Amino acid sequence: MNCTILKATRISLLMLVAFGILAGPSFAATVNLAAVEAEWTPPGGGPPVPMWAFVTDTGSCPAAPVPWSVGPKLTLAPADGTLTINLRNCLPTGSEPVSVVIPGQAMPATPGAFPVWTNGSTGPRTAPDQRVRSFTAEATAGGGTQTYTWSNFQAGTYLYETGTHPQVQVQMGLYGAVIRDAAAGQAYSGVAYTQERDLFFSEIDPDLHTAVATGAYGTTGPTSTLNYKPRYFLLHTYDGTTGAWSDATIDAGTIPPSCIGGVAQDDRVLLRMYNAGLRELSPMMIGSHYDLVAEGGKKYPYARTQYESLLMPGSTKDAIFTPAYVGDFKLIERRLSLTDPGPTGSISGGMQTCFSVASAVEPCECDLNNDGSCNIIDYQSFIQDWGRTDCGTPPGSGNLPNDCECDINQDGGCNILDYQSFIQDWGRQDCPVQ
Amino acid sequence: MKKTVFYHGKSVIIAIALLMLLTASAAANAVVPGISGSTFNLVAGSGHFDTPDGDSLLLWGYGNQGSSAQYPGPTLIVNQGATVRVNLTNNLDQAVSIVFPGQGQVTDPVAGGSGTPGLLTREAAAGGGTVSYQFVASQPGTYLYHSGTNTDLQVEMGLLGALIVRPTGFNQASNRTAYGHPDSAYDHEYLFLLSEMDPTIHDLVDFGFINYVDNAEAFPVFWFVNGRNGMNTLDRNFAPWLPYQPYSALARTRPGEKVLLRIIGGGRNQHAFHAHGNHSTIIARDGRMLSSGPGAGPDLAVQDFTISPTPGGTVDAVFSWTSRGLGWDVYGTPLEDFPHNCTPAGPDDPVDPNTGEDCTYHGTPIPVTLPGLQDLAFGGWYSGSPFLGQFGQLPPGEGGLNLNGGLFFMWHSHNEKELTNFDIFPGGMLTFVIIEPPGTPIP
Amino acid sequence: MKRYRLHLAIPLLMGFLLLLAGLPSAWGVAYVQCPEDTDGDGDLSNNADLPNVQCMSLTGGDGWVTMADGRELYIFSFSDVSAVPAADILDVGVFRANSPAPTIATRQGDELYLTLTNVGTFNRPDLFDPHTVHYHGFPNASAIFDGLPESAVAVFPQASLTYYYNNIEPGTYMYHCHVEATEHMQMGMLGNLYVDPIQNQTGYGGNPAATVAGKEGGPGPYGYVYNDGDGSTAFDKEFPIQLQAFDHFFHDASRDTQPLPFADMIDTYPTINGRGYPDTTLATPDPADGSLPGKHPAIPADSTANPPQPVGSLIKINRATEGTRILLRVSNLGVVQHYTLTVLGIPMKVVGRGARLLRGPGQAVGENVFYDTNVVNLGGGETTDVLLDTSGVAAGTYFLYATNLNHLSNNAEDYGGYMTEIVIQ
Repeated sequence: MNCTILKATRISLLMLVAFGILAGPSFAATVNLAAVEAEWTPPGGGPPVPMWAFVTDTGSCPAAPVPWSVGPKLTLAPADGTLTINLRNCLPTGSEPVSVVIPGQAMPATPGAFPVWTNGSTGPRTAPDQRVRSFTAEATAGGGTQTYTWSNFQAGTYLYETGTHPQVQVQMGLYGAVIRDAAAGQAYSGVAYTQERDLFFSEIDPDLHTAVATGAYGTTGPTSTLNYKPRYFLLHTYDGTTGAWSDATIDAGTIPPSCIGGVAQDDRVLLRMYNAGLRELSPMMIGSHYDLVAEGGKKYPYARTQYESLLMPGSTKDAIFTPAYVGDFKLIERRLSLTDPGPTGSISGGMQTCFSVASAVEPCECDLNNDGSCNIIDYQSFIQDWGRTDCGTPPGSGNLPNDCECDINQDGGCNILDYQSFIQDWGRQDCPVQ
Repeated sequence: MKKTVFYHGKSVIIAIALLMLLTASAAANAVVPGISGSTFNLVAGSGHFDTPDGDSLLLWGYGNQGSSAQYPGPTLIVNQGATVRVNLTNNLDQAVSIVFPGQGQVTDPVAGGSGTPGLLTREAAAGGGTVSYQFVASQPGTYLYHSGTNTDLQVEMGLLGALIVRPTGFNQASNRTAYGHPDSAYDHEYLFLLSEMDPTIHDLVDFGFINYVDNAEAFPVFWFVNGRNGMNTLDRNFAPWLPYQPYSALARTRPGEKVLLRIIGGGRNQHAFHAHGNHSTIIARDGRMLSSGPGAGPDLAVQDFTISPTPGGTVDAVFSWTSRGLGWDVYGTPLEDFPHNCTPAGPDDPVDPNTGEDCTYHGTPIPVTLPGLQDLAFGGWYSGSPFLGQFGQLPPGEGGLNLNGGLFFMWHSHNEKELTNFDIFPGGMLTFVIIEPPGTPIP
Repeated sequence: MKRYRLHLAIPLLMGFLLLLAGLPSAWGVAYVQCPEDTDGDGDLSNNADLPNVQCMSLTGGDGWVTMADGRELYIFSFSDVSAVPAADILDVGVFRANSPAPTIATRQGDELYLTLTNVGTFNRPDLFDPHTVHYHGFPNASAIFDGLPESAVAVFPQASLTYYYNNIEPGTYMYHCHVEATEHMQMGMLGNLYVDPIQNQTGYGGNPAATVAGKEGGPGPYGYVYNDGDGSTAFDKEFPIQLQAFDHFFHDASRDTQPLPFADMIDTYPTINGRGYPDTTLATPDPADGSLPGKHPAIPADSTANPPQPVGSLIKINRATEGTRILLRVSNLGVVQHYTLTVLGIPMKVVGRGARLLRGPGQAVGENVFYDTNVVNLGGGETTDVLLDTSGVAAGTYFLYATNLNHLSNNAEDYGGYMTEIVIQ
C-alpha cells in the first residue's frame, strides 16, 4: 500500500480546490489582487512594522492595515496558458501607484500605457532626464485598478512583485509566488516530483518602512534607499491544505525545532526557492545534496548536484531533494542571515528551517510490540483490553495505570473502530521499527 | 629610451635545470597539509591572533587535541568509504558543535548518546562538554565543516575548517586524482579557504559584551585565505610566528603541471577569486563533478578566470601554465645567450610538455622594447628579467624576493577592497602562484 | 565653500604645469611602439594597416567626471591618444581620464601593441604613482606584460611602456590598472575589452563563405561571440555593459589630499559604463561634439575629441533593419561586492562566462551548456555573455537593472544607479 503517492495527490487537489483557480477544465486563469497597507509583528513581540502587501481582492479596500503575508501563491494548471491579474490599489489616496510584473515572464499586456515616467507621462523616452517609475501600466492609489494579461505563461516557478518604484515598493512587501507545472506532477519537462515545498526568502528594514509609512521618505528622511539595512530575515513556506503562507523559521529558543513535515524517504521533493529580498542568498542543506534543475523558471540543460546554491535577488531556483534517510534535514542561509534583532544585539532566528522526513514505508498500526511484523503476538496484546472504555491516552504513555494497547485511535475506548485499523496491515512483516 | 640589460650569466641555471630534469627522480608534489585518518579528536578553544595592521583579535577555533585552536580548523583528510568519527571537546564558555554539509547522514557513535540537543545538531556543552559525530565519507571531493551552534556568531569567530575525501584508489605517488576519474588528475593540490572578519564582533565578545553583537551590522575589514591575511599568506606552513594560523596560501608549480585548486567559500560573503596567468577548468562543485551522468567524469567542465564560490560551497578547479600563443620565447633570446631546446608534444601541439614553451615562438624576441630602468617601478617579486628562470639587472634595493627566477602571478579576490588589512593596502585576500623553472623542487 | 575655492585653484595650477610641460627637456617624452608606425611619430592614425596587427596608445592620469545627480568626481583613468603624435601626448593627456576607459575591441589572431603613457596626476602633483594595464583574463604567460606591479614592472609618470598581446582566445574580457589596485580601481582606471572570434572571418560549417560575419563584411550575422562551429552564439548587435561604482567619500579624499578610507569603502554611485541612470540612456556623444549636454566641466581646448564619459549604455535595436539578437558583454569591475543584473521581460540566454564558450570538454559542436535565466550575478573581475532574443517580444521600452534594488540610486538621489533601457523597435 503506497500511501505516500496518494497523500501527495490529495494535497495537490486540495490546493487547487482551495484556490478556486481551476473550476473544471480551463485554459486561462484569472486572479483578483489588491495592494493594501499591512502590519507585521516581529518575532518576540514589539511594535508592528508597517508593510504593504498583495492580498486576494474582496471587491473593496480594507478599512485598516491587515496582518501582512507574502502575497497569495497562484497556481496555474499545466493547461493554463494565460494568466490575468486584476489589481486594485488600496494604498490611500495620494500614496504611490502600484503595478505587478513577473520576472522571467514576458511583460504583460495592459489597457494602460507603459512605461510610466516619474512625471506621470507614458510611452517611449522623449527627454534625457526622464526616469522610469513603473515598468508596466499602473493602478492609481485610492482604489484605482489595472488589468495585466500574460497570454503565453511559461511553465516554472516565479515570483510576482510590484513593477512600480521597485527600490521602495518591493522591500515594503509587495511580492508573492506564481507557478505553473509543465505537466501533471512535472515541474518542467522531464522533472517529476512527488511533493513540493516552497521556501520564500525576504527581508525587512524596519527603519525604512517607518520612513515610508510616515512620509519621511523622500522629504525629511532618507531620499534614496542606498543605505537599506535589513534587520529581519524572513523564511516562509506554503501550506497547500490551508492555502496560506506560514513562518518556517526555526530558532535556538525552541529545541527540538518544529520542522516542515509531510515528506517521506525517497520522495522527490520539489523545493521551489524564491528570493524577494535585495541581497544574494545561499540556502544550504545539511544532511543531503539536492539536484538543481531550474533557475528563474527556466530548466537547466543538466541538473547540478550541490548542497547549496546562489539564490539571486528577484529570481527563483528549483531543486529536487530526495531524502536518503529518515530524520531531520536542516537548511540554513549561509550568508548567515540567521538572526533577528534582540533587546541589545541579535537573537537566533532568521532564514533557517528544517524538514522532518518520515519513513517511506507506512507504519503498521497493528505492530503493537514494534518488532517489525503484525502477527499473533500483537493480536494477543490487542484483545487483552478489548471492550474497555476507560483507556488513558495516549496508549502506552505510562501516565495512567489503565492504558490500553488496543486503543489505536486514542479515543479512550477499544472498539470496532480500533479493530478495523488493526486488521488493515495484518500479516505484514515490513513494518518500520519506530 | 634605454634598453633594459638582462644579466646573461644566469643562463647556466637553465642548463642545469634541464640537466636535473633528465637525471632527477620523480620531482615531489605539493599536498594540502592536514590530519589524515578516520577518527579525529578536536577541541574547540580560543586564542588571540595577530593581524598585519598591528592588532590582535580573539579567535574561536577548532584544534587538534593537544594543540591549540587554529584558524581555519585542522584540514581533515579521509578516504572514500571510510566511517569517519569526530570527537569534539569544548573549552569555550558557550555550547559548540560541528555540521558537515555534503556528508549525508551524521549519526551518534556513542552508545547511550553524546552531546546535548541543539538547533542544527547535537552540541558539546560549554566548559569541557563533549559530543561525537559519525558519518560515511561516501563521495570524494572538497568539503568544509563549521559550527552549527549560534552559526552566525561562531563562523565569524573562526569555527570552520576543510574536509578532503580522497577517492578510492588514490595514491599520492602514482595516482593523484580529485574524483578518481583521470580528468580530475593533478600534480599539486592547494587549499584556498576564503573568509572574512569584522573586528568589532571579536572585540565585543573578547571584552564581555557578547549580547551586543549585532549580526545584521557585520562589516568585515579583514579578509583571509587559509586563515591568513596577505602577505602572511605567503609564509610557509606551520610558521612559528603565526601560531594560530598554520596554513600557507602560496601555490607553486612547474610548467605544464596541473594544479588542483580546492576553493572553499568559508565566510558569509561571495569572493571573486581571480587567478592571473591562465584560465582554470572548473571540474566540480560541492564535491560533485560537473558531469552529464555517472562514469562520464567532468565532461561538463567549464573554464573561467574568476571563480566565486557561494558561501558554504566548494569549487574544484585545475590550473596549468604554458606559454601557448605568447608570441615570443618565454625562456629568452638570443639563443646563443640563453641556450635551450624546445620539443613539441606532437604534430598538433606545439607546446613542449617538459618546459611549457610554445615551440612556435622558439627564438622569437619580445616584439617591443622595454623601458629603461629609470622609467619603471619594480615589484619585490620581479626577478629583473621577463624570461622564466632568468634574472636581470635591477636598481639597488629592488626585487630580492624571487629565489629561482620564477614568474609570480597574483591570485586574489577581485573585489579589490578585500586586498586590504583594515585600511592598509596591500593585504587581505591575496596570494601568489609561482611558475618555477622546470626541475625546481616542490615543495 | 571650500570645494569651490579649490576648483578655482585647479586651472591656475594646471596652467603653470602646462607651461612647465612645454619645456621639452624638463620632462620625459612619450614613446609609442607599433610596427605599423613606419614614420615613428607615434600617431597611429596616419599609418598603413598591417594585417593582424592592432595598435593603441593610451594615457594614464587623472580627470573629472559628473554623476547623474550633478556631483563632480575626481578620477584616475585612461584615455585614448592613438591619434596624437608622441611628442604631444604629455601635453594633451592632462586631465583627460575617461570613465570607463576607452573600449578595446580587437580580434582573435591580431597582435595588440598597447602603449601606456603615464602623464601624471595634475590635481595631485604630490603623487608619483606609476600605472599599468592588466588585460584581465588574458593568459599572460610572463609577468612582464601582466600589469601586476608586485611581480614585474609599472611605468612612472612622464614615461611610456608598450604591452604586447597575441590574442588567441575570443571572448569578453576587461582591463584595468593594477597599481595599488584598491585605490586605482576605485578611482576609475577600468575599461571594456573584447576579442572577436576568428569565426567572424572564416565562417563555419559546410558553406563557410555564407556565414562570414557582417562585422568582417560577410553575409552572415553581424558577429559571433565564440568559435561555436554551429552559429549558436550569433548576434546582430552588441553592447558592452560594465558595472563599476564610485565611493564619493574616497574620491573627495583623494582630490583633497586626505587619507584614503579603504576600510569604509562603499558603493555610493553605482554606474554602468561610468554613468548612473538616467545618464546611462544618453546616446554615446559624437566624438566631434565631445560633451554630454550640460554635464561635464570644461576641458582643455585641444582635447575636444575626448568626452570624459564617452560610453553610453542605451540598448536599442531596430528589428526590421538590424536583426533580433542582442549581445550583452557584461563585466563587473567594481571593487566592493557582487551584483545581480536582470532584464525584465526579455529572455536571457547565457552563452559564455569568463571569456569561454559554455561547452564542456565532452561535448561536440552542436552541444553546449547554455542556460536560460532572468538574472546574472557578477563579482569584480567576472564577465558573462548574454544573448537577448527579441524575436518574440513586443516592441517597446524595457529595462536592464540590478535586482539589488537599493543600488538604483545615485547616492542620495532616488531613481538612479544601475539601470539602463532597452528600446526594441
